[in-house]
Amino acid sequence: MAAYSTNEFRSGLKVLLEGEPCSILQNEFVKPGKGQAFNRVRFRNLKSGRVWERTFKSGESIEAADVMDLDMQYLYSDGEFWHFMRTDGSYEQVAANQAAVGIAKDWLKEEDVLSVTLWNDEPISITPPNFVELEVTQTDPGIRGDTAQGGSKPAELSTGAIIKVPLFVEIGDILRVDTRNGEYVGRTKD
Amino acid sequence: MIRWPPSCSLDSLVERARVLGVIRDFFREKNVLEVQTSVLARYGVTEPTIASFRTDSGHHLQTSPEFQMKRLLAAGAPSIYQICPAFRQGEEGRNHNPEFVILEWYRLGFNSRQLILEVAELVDLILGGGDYHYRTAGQLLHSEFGLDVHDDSDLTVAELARDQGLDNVVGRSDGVDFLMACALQRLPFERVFITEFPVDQAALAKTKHVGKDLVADRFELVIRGIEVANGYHELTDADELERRMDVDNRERRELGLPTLARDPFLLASMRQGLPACAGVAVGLDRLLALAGDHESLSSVMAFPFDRV
Repeated sequence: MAAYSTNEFRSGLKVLLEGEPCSILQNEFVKPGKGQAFNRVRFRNLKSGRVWERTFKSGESIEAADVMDLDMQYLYSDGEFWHFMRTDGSYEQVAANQAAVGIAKDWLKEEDVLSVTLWNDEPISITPPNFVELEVTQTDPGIRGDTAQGGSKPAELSTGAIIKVPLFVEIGDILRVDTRNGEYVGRTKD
Repeated sequence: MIRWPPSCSLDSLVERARVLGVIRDFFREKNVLEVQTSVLARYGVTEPTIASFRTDSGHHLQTSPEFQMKRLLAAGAPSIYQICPAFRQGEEGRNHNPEFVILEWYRLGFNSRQLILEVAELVDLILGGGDYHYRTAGQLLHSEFGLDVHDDSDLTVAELARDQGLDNVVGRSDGVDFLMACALQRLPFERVFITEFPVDQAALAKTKHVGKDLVADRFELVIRGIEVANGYHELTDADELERRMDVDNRERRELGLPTLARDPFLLASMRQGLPACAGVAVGLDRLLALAGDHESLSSVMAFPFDRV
């Protein structure tokens, strides 16, 4: 497997740290006037999402990780695994477990295309699009005509996610949701 | 698109020109002579942690103008200063660019204390007046990490460095350098002069006894965690310098680096007699970045390394 030296560290580079696949977030070169140079590096663990900080002596190397981000279509869940298919015409499928799907499962709608991170060809994380459109399956009755600001209520979406919505939202409405913070953005049809 | 435009604003270039004027006025008033020496030299510095750029002809681009300026002093020059480019391979980051500008000056008959006051006087002109705090390197490492840099074992140094996040500690100096770098970034004051460094970091400074400890008569000015100036009460003993260069070359061999010939021009000039003096190098780009509140040197340089 290839290795990268500290002077090749760039943000986005995928490497193995303590056996875990990581992406480099930031690489700071630190050198006291007289003395050894260091690289203080921040990594995101691609499996856990946690940020790690490590310091290396300049010139040290770490192993590259075989990590790829692929656009894939979400097919279905069998309860244990979530199944995705490549969009490059190969129809190849992969199955992601709960740990890989994580909180992204709240935003998975069948046939949506999203980004799947593969490590040694196994899915390790799923990144949904920034905005998804999902149907309201459960909420208190809407107050028709009340489109004023203020006031919100919980609503359950087709994926099982529960978000805060304005009072006028009704069952059957299709909502646009920001997946990065889980916030209601708007209704797509009245 | 290829990034051909300068990375700094035109205002920043105007500010650089203004500061160059301030520096030249400062030294003119003090009767310090401006000199220019050669950037290209046959001999390089032996310090293992400094890598020069080499030309096809085997010459070095200077990593500092120190050697040639000292030869001028040995030849009878008065106090002198120089503003020039310097080059260090592999040093690239927010506060580093492989090519940078050094302001370096030498004051005949000065000790460290006198030169420190003069550095502060010049920095005040560029950054505005401020308070200066003083810490010895030993005090700093002791207050931050409880380390006694002169007496504690290599094992203690390695353990403390590991606690601060350095995984692979090989020698004592690895650990001390790293702890020092950590401590500098956490200083509780804006402007701090660090003095009395461990002797293995003496470089070209004299050593002196403080109580039972032998220390290097060297200082650094650190502003907002960034090293801005590095000064010495200059070593004038050619034999001692030769010994230090040999130690450097031994370390180079251990590290698998090429050894470098000891600069015979410098050694001969010191045998002739380098007058007692103190000298300091200021990183001009860093000072400009601090003056303009910039995060990176690229905001004060027309064309940093990724654009040349």
